[in-house]
Amino acid sequence: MRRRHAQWLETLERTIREAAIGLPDDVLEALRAALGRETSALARLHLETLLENVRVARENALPICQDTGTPVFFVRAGSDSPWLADLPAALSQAVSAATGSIPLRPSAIHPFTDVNVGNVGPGVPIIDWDIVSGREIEITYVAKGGGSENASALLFVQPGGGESAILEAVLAHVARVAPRACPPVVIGVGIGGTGDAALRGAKRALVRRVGSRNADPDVARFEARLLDAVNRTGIGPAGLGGITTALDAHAELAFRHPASLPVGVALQCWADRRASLRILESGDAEVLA
Amino acid sequence: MKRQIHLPVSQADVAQWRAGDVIALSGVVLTARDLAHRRIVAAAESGAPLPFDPTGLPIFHCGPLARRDGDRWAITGLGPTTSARMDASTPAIMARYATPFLIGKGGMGAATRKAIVARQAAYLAAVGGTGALGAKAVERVLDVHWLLEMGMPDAVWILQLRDYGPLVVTIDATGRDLHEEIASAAMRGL
Repeated sequence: MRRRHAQWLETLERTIREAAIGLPDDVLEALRAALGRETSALARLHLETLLENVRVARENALPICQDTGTPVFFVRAGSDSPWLADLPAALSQAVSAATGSIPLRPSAIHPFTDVNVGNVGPGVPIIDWDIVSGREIEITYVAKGGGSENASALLFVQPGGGESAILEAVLAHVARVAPRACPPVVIGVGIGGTGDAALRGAKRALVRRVGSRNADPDVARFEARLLDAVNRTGIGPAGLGGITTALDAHAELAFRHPASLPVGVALQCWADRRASLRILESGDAEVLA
Repeated sequence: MKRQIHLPVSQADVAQWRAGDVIALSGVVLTARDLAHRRIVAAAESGAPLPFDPTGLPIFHCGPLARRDGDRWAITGLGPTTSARMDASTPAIMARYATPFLIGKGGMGAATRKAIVARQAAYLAAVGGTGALGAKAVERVLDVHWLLEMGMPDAVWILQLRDYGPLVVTIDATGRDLHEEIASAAMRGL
């Protein structure tokens, strides 16, 4: 049993490394496509530099960004996995190990004293749980940049305005904050529920593959409209002008209370670093493409 | 297209840089984030000496990623952090330490723009998120201060850079501010 535990723990550390030094294919493709569309010299210079940075990071096994982020794990936990009880401690252990071996920048700081303790401390790493039936555990690790996290918001939209009111509110917010969130960004929107649920929905939307659309055609249309509107602001790469302010927009929808329409917004920088793994019942684990 | 700049530069030279110019930088810079800015300002107010002299050094808004190699530091990630957090404390620091220019990302506020014009300085935008490229441009870590108290990102690192760029002049000595222009146009268009 312990040997099996060591095996998936090692895979977990490898997953963190994969996220830190390489971008997922869908993000890379979106950046290349953006370079193909942009005509402004500064926008092109920025996109070329981002892509060159990704190449240099991979070649030298260096983290893509010096801000290696707040470690966030999105866990789809099979209720019958024998590894559930071990998981929280293992996630912290993997982050600590990766902090030393990659290395990651120590980025967990006490809010009162400003003392930097590394990357593991009270509340960190952040774990988002989703319990599903089954015997396997799927985990997506996201390195969440601090600059883009400052662009998060919980908006309370006047109920009754429907899709257009939500779109307007999100667009106004994103247009204001995107320049400082290392654009082109990925946008996650959580619509409805309670305030906390809306922000959680936004975060979960954020980790979907760039280029994917919500299965609900109405939400999918909202995503496409938002993406189009954000890219018409002219903010562009690095906020210095262009037609690529966002690589994609994702939304998740929950029903709302009659008096309330919370809308959570979360942004991820262009360095949308994530990687996934699956832990099998046997304790074997694999990094997912 | 990239202009090579070797430090030190005269303020008269910096005053000639124009918004949109693209620069590759070689020479000594100092990193400082919000905690370091606060500490530098506090030292100036209390008259306490600093363990380093920021006079004449460009200030880079950056919290690097570093690895200890024996008795030396190797920088494995170098890139800009959001400059707006340093807006309030920057004019006083620029005035006191004759800061020739700033490097960061996302631009600054009106207070710093005014100081840039007054001092005929400039603000250079580095490309956010390009830590690996930045690391390759660090020739040497000359010194690090406040590391134990403030931690790796917030410490003051004094770095010798070679060919670091592209850096885009986005706020120039005439007061032109590309960040502000693009952001205002975006908000007007909503």
